Amino acid sequence: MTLELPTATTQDAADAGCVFASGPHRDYLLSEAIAWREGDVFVLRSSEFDIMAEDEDFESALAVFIRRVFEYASMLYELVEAGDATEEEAATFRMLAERIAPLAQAAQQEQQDTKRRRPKRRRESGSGHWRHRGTPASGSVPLSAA
Amino acid sequence: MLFRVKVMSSDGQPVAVTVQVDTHRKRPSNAALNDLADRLRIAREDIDSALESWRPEQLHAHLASKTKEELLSRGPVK
Repeated sequence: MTLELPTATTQDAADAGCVFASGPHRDYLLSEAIAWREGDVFVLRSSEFDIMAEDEDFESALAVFIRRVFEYASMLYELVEAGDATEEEAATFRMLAERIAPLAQAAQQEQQDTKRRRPKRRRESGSGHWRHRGTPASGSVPLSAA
Repeated sequence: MLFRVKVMSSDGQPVAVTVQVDTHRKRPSNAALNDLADRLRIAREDIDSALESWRPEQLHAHLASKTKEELLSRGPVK
């Protein structure tokens, strides 16, 4: 899939859009944002909370933005837990938690499904597995004992 | 990296300002500096000197002199 690049060249004329995180089966909205190209960098700025990202490569800017949203959500969680969050931070945390929780659940489910499928796939696989004779089928053995 | 400054605004409300410092680029871009200036409620043309010379107490006092509405604004300081 080709990534659509922002065409605006100033913040004032920035393109409005949304940043989604890719889940195992669908995309999940993380933030409404504006995007533009300033000189040699692409800039993404959340229009909902204090996060921005920039990079010469738009895909990298997106990755940095998404990582920062998770860092920000984590910081807000700690503040809320400690009872130190302001009214606005608590509201932002609730909003982010509603968006991130389904993504985290889907990722966890996918991980469990993958684990369940893996042994089956191995048995069905036509490609062989080589194991050193005398080495247990699983578990780690010191080299000296093999 | 995220840095948070919590102040009591000039109209008596607790407000937190979060700024981020970009460590994945050698030099911050103009966009990053502008963003920092906007969040700290400093005129964009003054952000370089503020970063060079301001002490933490000065930043705290500057933010505490703004109203809650001003602190939550994300637009450039006029």
